[in-house]
Order: sequence, then structure tokens, then C-alpha cells
Amino acid sequence: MNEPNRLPTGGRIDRSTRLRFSFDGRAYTGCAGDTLASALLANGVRIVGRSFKAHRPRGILSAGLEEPNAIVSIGVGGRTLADLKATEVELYDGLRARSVNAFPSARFDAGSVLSMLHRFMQSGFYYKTFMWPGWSVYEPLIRRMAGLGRSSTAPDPDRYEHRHAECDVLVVGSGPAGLRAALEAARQGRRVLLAEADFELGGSLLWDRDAGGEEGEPWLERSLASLRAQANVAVLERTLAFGYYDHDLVGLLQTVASDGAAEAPTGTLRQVLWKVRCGEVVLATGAIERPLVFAGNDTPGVMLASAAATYVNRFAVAPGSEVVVATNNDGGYRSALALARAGLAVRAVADSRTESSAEAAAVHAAGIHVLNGHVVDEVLGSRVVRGVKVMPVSGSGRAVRLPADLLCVSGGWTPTVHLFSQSGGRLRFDEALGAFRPDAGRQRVRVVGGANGDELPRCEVAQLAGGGRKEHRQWVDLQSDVTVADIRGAVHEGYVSVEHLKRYTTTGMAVDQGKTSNLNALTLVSQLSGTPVPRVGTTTFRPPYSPVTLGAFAGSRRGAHFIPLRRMPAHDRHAALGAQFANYGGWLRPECYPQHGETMDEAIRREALAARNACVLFEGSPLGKIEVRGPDAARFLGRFYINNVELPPGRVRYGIMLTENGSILDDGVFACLGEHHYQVCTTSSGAARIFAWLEEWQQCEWPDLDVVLLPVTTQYATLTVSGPRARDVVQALGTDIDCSAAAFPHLHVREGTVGGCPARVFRVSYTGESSYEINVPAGRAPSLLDRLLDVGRDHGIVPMGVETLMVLRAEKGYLHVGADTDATTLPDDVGFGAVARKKQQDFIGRRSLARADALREDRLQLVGLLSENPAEVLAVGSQVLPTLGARLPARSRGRVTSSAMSPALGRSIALALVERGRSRIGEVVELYDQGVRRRARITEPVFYDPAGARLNA
Amino acid sequence: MVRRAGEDVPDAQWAQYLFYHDNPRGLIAERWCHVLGCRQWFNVVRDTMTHEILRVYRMGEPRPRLDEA
Repeated sequence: MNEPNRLPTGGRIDRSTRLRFSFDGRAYTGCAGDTLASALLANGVRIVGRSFKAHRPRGILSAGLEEPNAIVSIGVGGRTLADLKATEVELYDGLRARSVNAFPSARFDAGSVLSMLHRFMQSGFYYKTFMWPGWSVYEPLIRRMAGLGRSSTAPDPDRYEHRHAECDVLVVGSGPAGLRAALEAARQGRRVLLAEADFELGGSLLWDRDAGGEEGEPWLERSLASLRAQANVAVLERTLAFGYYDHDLVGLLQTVASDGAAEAPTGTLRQVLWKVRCGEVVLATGAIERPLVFAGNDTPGVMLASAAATYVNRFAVAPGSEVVVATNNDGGYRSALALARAGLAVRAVADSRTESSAEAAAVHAAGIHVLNGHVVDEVLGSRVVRGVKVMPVSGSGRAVRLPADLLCVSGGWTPTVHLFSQSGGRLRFDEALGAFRPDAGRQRVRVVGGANGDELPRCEVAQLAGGGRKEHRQWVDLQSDVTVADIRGAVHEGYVSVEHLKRYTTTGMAVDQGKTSNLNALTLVSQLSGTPVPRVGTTTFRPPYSPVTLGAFAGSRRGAHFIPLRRMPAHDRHAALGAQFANYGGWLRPECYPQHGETMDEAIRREALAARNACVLFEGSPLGKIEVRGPDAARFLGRFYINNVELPPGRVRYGIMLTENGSILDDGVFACLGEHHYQVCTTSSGAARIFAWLEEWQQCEWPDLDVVLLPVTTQYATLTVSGPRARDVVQALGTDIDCSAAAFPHLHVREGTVGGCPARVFRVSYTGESSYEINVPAGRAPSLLDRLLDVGRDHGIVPMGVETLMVLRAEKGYLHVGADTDATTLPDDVGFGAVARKKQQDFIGRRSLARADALREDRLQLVGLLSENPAEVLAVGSQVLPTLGARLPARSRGRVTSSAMSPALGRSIALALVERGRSRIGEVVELYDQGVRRRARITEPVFYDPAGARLNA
Repeated sequence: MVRRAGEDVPDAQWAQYLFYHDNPRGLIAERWCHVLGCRQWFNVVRDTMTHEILRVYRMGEPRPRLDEA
């Protein structure tokens, strides 16, 4: 065994299972049952990281999730996990760990030159210093120097799952209090879930041999055996309770495979995120020991007393050989005894309290010197602890210099109230603990043991400030590099609200969220401002308690499963026809069908010309379809559309719906299919939204209307034949519907059979050409599409994609809601003001059309734009300038909303919303887009067949 | 049911209906929809501090007096 600090006996590690690992490129070994931190200490590695701002050398402070210093990145490639605490990483064979904030390594860090400058870089330094010429100049450099670990950009090869569960009692924490609660609940026959963040159960029993009476290791083993034997108990190790949400929902993060070795197969289940709904939650989350504040308290070799005892008792590692313990409570004595028993030379216990402790006798008996009324003045040694200078707390008297390589500190205990606070529970300050403890709860939560402040040693909180120049070396928050001087400065500048102080000094931020530092910072602010701690208050405890991987939150919702893509009924046919697909509002649809190496532009041009000169076939199945039936169907729909909805059966009308604000919500046609029977067609993206909108009004506001709604969007496939030859194709296929222009004109609907298939055919058009929109049962779409293409071949039919349709409708100036309109666009802005004004009946949004803002003369109005250079396509989003050659910055006077190269016109066209646009037809305006200015003439928004003659052909 | 302001109300009253809604700390009456289930709209009285649901009642039924809920 070549681990110099490994104790020959004891501990809960398995000395027979050796694990190889590396840290900053150096090879080491450890034992099964080690954490990365204990293995590093076993190997005598004392400097494990550099601090965030000052790049000071830092060592391991704690043995748990509260660790502020030992921040590492582990794993390789896509399995890299940045910013873990070495104290939470379960050692595995082949583990590769790197320190953060250090280049090239924690031992030799080029950035350490900053530690000499840190005195001059107090809180607010960045805000005050890097102002000229602008923060953006400095930001990249500063971020690179400060940024903690770096996550991989490679995809994560592992798998993550979500699981939903419920239980009668969730117990969080497996220390003595948690085990007692779990045993009791199990005995009552309740369904119990016990979650422990550590890979080993037992909590404080794993290191505190003296924890409560009969307890201790034998009791632990008996209790665990009993729990495991009961069918109504589930025990989850490596499972962090990270958040307590409403209605007693608790989030758990279970690590299933804790080894991140590169050779694990792709798709290995790494973590499970549990959402547990609980009848009761018992929080047994324990307490966290606080550091003491003195000069040089960040030097490697300064360690929490309980952590030192943990390394000795649980991991059989001596974190030092010559020890001084500094404490303000009885707990420090227990740790001193544990270290002495393991054979470490404990030189002295310095107790800030002048009264002799009840624990003093046992310590004396072990031959340890006790210095009552003494505190640490400063640490001797710069890179690591070489000794400790101890002073009487009164400030007068002789200083004592003690040689030491390990300084154990205990500044009292802080109950871990995070989950309780997240649950909505109130906290109260306990002077004897110097910390907050749970008060009234709001949910079904019970807090037990140390988390409740029970059985924690009382402490005497010292005066933290007053060190003069030493305040620059008295660290309050080790992770964020905040000193007493920083907090004094912030309070001096008026940052007394704890929320402001946190943001100004960054105390309590980053990976550890101030688990060891928050109380000391609060106490310091209290002392500096003369405000009692409860009045200073705490910052808000928010989930997660400790960082959770993004992979776990994502679960299986990644890649193709992030948002399910819908495929149209004839999808396979489009693929076979060479369609180029894209995601349109969750539907995978053909953009166009490039043939024989065509570019997309060439394909769109060919398809658009086919629509104008022959005919095209387009699948529009995602088009929203809602059937509305009942004696009040017309009355009901009349309250939504700005149009009159009274139609004879067989007629179709284009309509617009508004929100109550008067802005355009959706557009599309509606048809009267028979007496008391309508069909509403929405935009494809509006299908679900508009159905929900109609339903809400029906159920909540107008339940008196006799009407039934039925969404049929996916029941029907929609195949549209459009173009001058469209009628020929439909007739060639065979239909019992009379398709003559007189019998079945534009804006009519007929039901019958087409090619032997029951069909509902609409004569509506978004291309500007005569069109037949054939709706058939969805399953019939592929065969109908085949046959339409087959019989259409003689008429020059080609399949057409969405992008081509967008060019055709722009040529016609047909609205694309959401592109040519936004949440402020009113009907009059797009030329439908007269329709709305003519309607007698009230409709949703009507009153808003009479507001002063709706009647403003300088509203944006939809117009056409023809660029000066017909070969140039204006960029969508180009802004209209106030005048030709206007200086920037200038207020926008409108913008381009749609733009295309028109094959029919042989030039570019655009639609735009322009201030007072309709009164400016013929005017030339200047447009600005990303540094480029272009000029264009305002026109009517219809470029092709303005009379609409082709629709009625 | 939200009392929809009539067509002939003055602008200020219409603006009240459109834009001004109470956001109390404590009990609030609001309407919910079982979106991924039966799609039924219903009313609840909820405590905005605890998110506790104190009453559930049908559309059209009168709002229970909040001090009794």
C-alpha cells in the first residue's frame, strides 16, 4: 500500500479492493469505499484547487456536500461532469479528476499572481474598474480566468430516466434520527421510502462513534437489516433529495451508475430523477459544522473538526499528523478525542469560551492541553498549515505558537433547513446554536434530529470583525473568495439587505451555495450593522439543494424525443417523391421536392410555375378542422369571427378571429355544411389552440348555447389540387360531384366521392389559382395521392411543398398570421377594417377596435414593397427608416414581414407593415437590415391577379 | 364566469376588464382546465401562499364566499 496517510486498521473502506485514479494527471490509488477526497488525503495531496477569484491554494475543508474548496471535474469526453465536490465523488477504478480554476494544475497555478493583488480587488472591484470603454472588452478574459469547471460540448452518451412514485412516508437522511423515523413508520405498516445522498447509509453514525447511547455501528447494522427485511420499505442510496415542491412533491436524484468510466457502453442508465408524492415527509438532513473566521483560515490544512473525524473513523485516513483543534462548542472536543484515538498527535484544544467544558476531562485524560478563552489569531505557513498562533480572546495576554499541520475548526452547527424552507416552512433564529432552525411548517413535513436543531452542541459566537489589516485574510466564503474586509466594505457602502449583500459580494453563491459560509456572513453583517441576526434575515433557499445534472432533468426528452414530430398521413409518399422535410409547428412537412440536383430555389421556382401554368398537388393535412353542430352553431361562431357567419349550406367564407384586445388571433375559412352544422378551418399552427379557445368560451362563458364542438384535424387528410388544370385532374380521377364552374364555384363546399373515396371538397385557395381541397379519411391519403399524381401526369401535375405555397400566397398578398401579423395587429391594419365595422353583432375583440390606440392614424399597415433592384430579395425583418438616408439610430417605421423571389413576376416581392402604409402607395422608402440599406417602392399588397379572375376559372 | 364588459362601456371600464386582475396574497378564485384529460373547465378556490385547493365547484355555480372557504 503506497497511501502514506492511510491508517493501518479501522474505517469502513475495503482495503482488499484497490482502485486506480488520477488527479491533475498524476496516478494514485485508493480503496473501495473511499470518496475522491478521502483518497486524495490518503495520498497526502493537500492542495486540491485554486480559489475562484484570487487563485489561492485551497485544501479539503469538509467531508460532504457542503465542500467549498475541493471542486473538481471528473470523467472524459461526453461524460465529463464539471464542478463536482471531491467529497461527494465515490471513487471508482479509472476515475480521472481535474482541479478547476487552476492552470496547469492546482499545485502550480499561473493565476496565483492574482492572490497578491486580491487585497486591491474587493467586492465591487469589477463594477468599478472595468467600466471604460465597456465591460464587454474585459468580460471574455475575466470569465475565462474565473469560470470554474468546463462542461463538455460532446453529446452525453448515457441515459437518464424519470420515475413517478408515491409513498406514505419519505424519510430524507439515514442518520440516527432518520433511521429511527423510518423504523417507526415501517412498524406502523406505512409505505416508507428512505433516501440517502451518500453511497453509504448511516449519516453521522459513520464517523461519530459516540452518537447517542446504544447507537453506533452495531445499532446501524441491525437497523438497516430490519428495514431491508420489510416489504413496505424501500431504501435508496446515492439519492439526493434536491427539492421540496408544492403538495408534498419531493424531487430525488438517484445515481444508478456512479462510475463515469470512458469504457461504459453507450446508453448506460446513469441517473433517475424521481418525483415522489408523499403522505408525509420526515426531514432528517442533519447539520453542517461551521468554520471559524481568522487570518489565513483558507490555508490547506484547515479542516472542519467533524470532517477530520470522518476521515479518520470512516475512511481510515489521517488528514494530518500534528493537530490543533479550535472550537467554540463541545463538539470540537469529541473530534479531538477521535483524532487522538486514531494516533494523531493532538497538541491542544483552543476553546473561545472561558468556562471549562464538560468534555474537558476526557480530553485532559487523553493528554490534550486545553486553552480556554483562546482563539486562533492566524495560521502560520503560506501554502499549507505549518503552525497556529493562538491568542487570548480578550485580546490582551500572551500569544501561543503551536506547531501543527492540521488545524481542526468548529464554529458551531447549522441545521440543514433547506428542504424545510423550500416546503414553505418558517425559520426562527436560535441564539444558543447561532443558527436558524425550523419553526412552523406549511406542508406535511416533520423535521427530526440535527436538522431540527436537536442534540446539537451550544456554541458561543465570537466577534468576527476587528482584525484590522488581517480582515483581508479572514475568509468568510471560501468558494466565492469573500473576506471580512469585503463584507465590511459592502456594509459600509450600504448593502445591508442580505439579498443585496449576496449579489454585491457574491457570498453564498456558486456550487456550494454558501452551506458553510452563510451563517458566518449573516453574523458578520449583524455585528457590523448592529442589527440582530433575525432582522438581517436569510437569503431564499431554492431548489436544488445541490447541483443536479441537466441530463437528469431532461430524462428521455432529448434528440428525437425532445418534442415528438408528427408525420402526415402520406408521409412515406412524400419521402419517395424526394421531398426535403422541415419541422413546421411540430409537423414534419415537405418544404419542396428538389429533383435531379436542383437547389431549393430552383425547386420552388419549378413548383410555383407549375401551379400558375398547370397544376400542383399539396398535402395540407395539418390544417385545423373543427366541426361545430347544434341549433346555436351560427350564434356561437358569430361571436368569434369579425365576419358575418350566416351562410346557406354549401357556402364557404374566409374569416378572421380576434383576441379580446382586438388583435388577430387566427384566420381561415369556415363552411356551412348543413342546417346547424359548420366546419371551422384554422391555420395549421392554430389547430389545437383555437379548439381550446372555442371550448373555453363555450364551457365557461356561454354554456347556455346549444352547440357541440368536435376537433377532426387528424381524422381527415387534406390533399389539395391547385392550378388552371386542377378541375381536369379531379374529373379525370372520377367524382360524383358536379365540378363545373357553375355548379361548384369558388368558396363552396361539396360532399361526395372522389376516386371512390368519401370526400368533403372545398373550393378555397391559398395559391390564387382555382383549387380543390379534398378531405378524405386519413388512412386513404396515400392511395389517393398516388392516383392523383397518376391521372394528373397528363395535365403536368407536380407535388408542391410548403415553401412554394408561401411564395404563391405572398404573390397574392394573402395573410400569413404570425408572420404578417403580430400580437398588436388589428383587422384594419391588414385591410379588414370595413368587414369588422359592417358587422352588426358583437364579437370577441370588437370593443377594443374602438380604443384610441386602435384608431391612431400612424398605425402600421400591410402594404407591398418592390425593391429598386428586382433581383434583390429584401430580408424579412428589414426595418423601414423614417426618411431616405436617415441617420441611425432612428425609430423604426415598420418592417418587412414576408419576402420572396416571384417566379410569376420574374422579380422580387415583399409584404411589409409600414406606418401609415396605405396612404403612402407609390412612395420610395429606405430599409435597413444588418448594416445594409436598400430602397423599395410601396405598392398595393397584391402582386398577381389582383382581380382574382383565376380563382373563379 | 368572467363578467364580460358590454360593448358600450367607456374605455376605462373596458381596460379594467382587459388588463386589471387581482393577484391577492391568500385566497383566489380561478378557473382551471383538465387539459390532458377530460378537457373540462372547472372553478377552484386556491391559497396563493400554500397552493392549497380549498374548493372545487362547477362552471356556473356561485363562487363560495372566500372567508368561509
